[in-house]
Amino acid sequence: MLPDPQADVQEFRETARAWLAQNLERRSGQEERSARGLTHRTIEDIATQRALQKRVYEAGFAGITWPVEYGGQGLTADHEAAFLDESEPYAMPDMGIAGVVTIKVCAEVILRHASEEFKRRHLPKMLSGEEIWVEFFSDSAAGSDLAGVVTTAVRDGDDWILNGEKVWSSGAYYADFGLCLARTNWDVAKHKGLTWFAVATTQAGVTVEPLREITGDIEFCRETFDDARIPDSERIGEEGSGWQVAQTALRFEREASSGSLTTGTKIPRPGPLAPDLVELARRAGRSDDSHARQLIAKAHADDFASRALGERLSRMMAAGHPAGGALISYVKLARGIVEPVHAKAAIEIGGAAAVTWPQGDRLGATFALDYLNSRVTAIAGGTNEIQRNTLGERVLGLPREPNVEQQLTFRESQDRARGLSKGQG
Amino acid sequence: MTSDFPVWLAPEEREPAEAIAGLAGSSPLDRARAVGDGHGGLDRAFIRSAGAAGRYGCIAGEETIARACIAAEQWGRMVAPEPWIETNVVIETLSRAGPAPGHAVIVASLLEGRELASWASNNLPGWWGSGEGVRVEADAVAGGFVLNGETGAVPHADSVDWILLAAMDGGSFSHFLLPTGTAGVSFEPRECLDLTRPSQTVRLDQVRLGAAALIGARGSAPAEIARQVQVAIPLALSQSIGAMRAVTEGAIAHARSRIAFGRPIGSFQAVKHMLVDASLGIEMSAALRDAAARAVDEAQDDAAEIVSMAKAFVARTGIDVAHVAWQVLGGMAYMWENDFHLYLRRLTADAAFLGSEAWHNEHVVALHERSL
Repeated sequence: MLPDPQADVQEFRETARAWLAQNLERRSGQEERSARGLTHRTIEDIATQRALQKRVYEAGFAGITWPVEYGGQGLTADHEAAFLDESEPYAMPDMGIAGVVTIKVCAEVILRHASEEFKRRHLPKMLSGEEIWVEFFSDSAAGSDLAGVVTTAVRDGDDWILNGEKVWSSGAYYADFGLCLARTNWDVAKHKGLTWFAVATTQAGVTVEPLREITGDIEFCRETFDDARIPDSERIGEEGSGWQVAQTALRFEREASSGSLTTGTKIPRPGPLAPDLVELARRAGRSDDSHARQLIAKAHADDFASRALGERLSRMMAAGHPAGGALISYVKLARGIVEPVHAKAAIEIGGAAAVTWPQGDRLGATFALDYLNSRVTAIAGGTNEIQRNTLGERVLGLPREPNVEQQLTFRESQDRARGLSKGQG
Repeated sequence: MTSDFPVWLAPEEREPAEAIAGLAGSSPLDRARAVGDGHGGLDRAFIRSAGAAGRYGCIAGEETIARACIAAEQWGRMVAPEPWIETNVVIETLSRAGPAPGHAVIVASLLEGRELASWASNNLPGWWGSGEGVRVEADAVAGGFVLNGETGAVPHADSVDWILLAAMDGGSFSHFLLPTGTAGVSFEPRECLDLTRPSQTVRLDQVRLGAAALIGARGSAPAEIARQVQVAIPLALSQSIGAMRAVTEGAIAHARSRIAFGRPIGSFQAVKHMLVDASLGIEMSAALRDAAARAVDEAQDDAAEIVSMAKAFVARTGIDVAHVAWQVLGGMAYMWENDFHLYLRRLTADAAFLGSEAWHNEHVVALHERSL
């Protein structure tokens, strides 16, 4: 029952509504949590979700705005919005963060930089749930300095030989492919010697090791490449073009997270008073304690200010502010600052009640997990310090730091930095 | 890409902002410097010209608080040494009090800048626990009232024509508009951290006022004050934000041009990151101010809460932003000739006026408890 591509949005909406009602379950309640997290997604769970995604795909509701030749429906953004609207109450296929990255980041990079043959080979399978993709982006040795990766691919005939180590790749243990940024030339400047490859997670020479995070969750992974042989047909973009391609990935990463960073034109309202802090104050018998009340009010205002900032910046960008999308960094920085403050206030208000709670007490566990997660925004996707550099230089017009690598090849730069570590200056 | 971020204005903000900047001419701090140096009082001629251009009185007719906030930012940029907020609060109060005889004349005069008013905002029953409370008593007598007592600090009290104050009237509080030239009114000078907002204690000794001095009904002051607070705070925050922008621009310009250790100091992350945090504080303040002005204009049921959240946030942030500029300017900031101290003094006093951060924080929590 493929919908007619020419059908109007309303007809599409009704088709979707009927199909959803017959084929999907409604969303259920909340999951149990403990401070050890343990919300590990099993391969079996992901397989169930892949099967569900396949049904959505076959019914014509995946890749609604994508080109037909790559498995999409070739419809408008209005059709997609109608489907999102209709599917909201349902438990849609959930392949975790890697499922989001597959569509919102990897597919966008492939659409813009891969060969036609590559696109036809992979994109339909990405839509159908058959292929889950992640980014092999940060090296263990290169986080904020993304272009400083030392994972290296060396040309060998029609192949490349890949060695090195990637980390913080979310969901890689259940993914099929990684988009891997590797150094292909050490004897040019840092940003000029990089190239992207598609690497199958199951191929020889590739080891994917799920890592337990501080919450106890197992989500991100470490990948080790030990003479992994990658055909040149799996290269994405030209040799040496890795940094340009990386800009596409970074842009779509930002867009994927910007939905949560701005509220668009929706007018934010304060809502309930910091419910976690109010509950912790109650548990600690400090509901009338003026210090606790000050902390609660401050966290409440900070939270509202961060949301109001998203709305204000959306308006400024729409009105043509010259700094444009760079302004989004303000919202990320705001949250990167206020979330840890809020988390520390929870510990201060709750005292013992914040650090120990009866077994099976879901709220107590949630508060502890929130504390352990409180620096995610401050660190992931560009630390507070990286946001401050971006804003300082691109919005306030402050001068850049002197670039000590500018005149050097990457190899020379690494040698120089090692000398500095040893105190040779 | 670089941009003049702190001075960027949305298209709808440009006309009112540029009009007010234009009034002040090429040396917008002259009035503040004169008052700060003790060389001058209120510049009546300037206020009259602003009023004649329709730019002094803002809150009348169809004008929204949100739009008046655009003007308020510009007054704040020049550390305006005039009772602009107070005059507009009085205009709004009188306009709303209904067509009492004589009020329309006063409103017109205030709108046009021919007369000025202040507001005894440190003595509001129930607000920001001034500790001083309301220490003015009104006794009804034939044909009017007799007022006795004294106020706390009232900005520009000895230089304005009218002062709006709350007085104990039997078991409740009533509002009076006091003509400052009335017999029995005297002013006790005070010293002020904010040199551009000279304030005095007002003493009332057997001050006889006609019935027309009563604003609204007897006993109506508490309800009126809740509204005055919601008008005054978004305007006051906007003045603070204007001052925060101006002082941060100065610090950014300094960080771009000052060379130390062979490079502009703004290239050092320790300096750059402080300035970014200041600019973030300004934008979060502006976002809360926008939300507060909108909530008041649209009579949202959470308006009182949003206004208090905004005041608490801006009180803290205004001082933080001033201190960032202070640190970036370094020894330069310590020179009187550098106008930095005018902003520091203003922003610090702004934090205390109309309720401190702590008072508004407690108010927000109490509002939620009341709604439970």
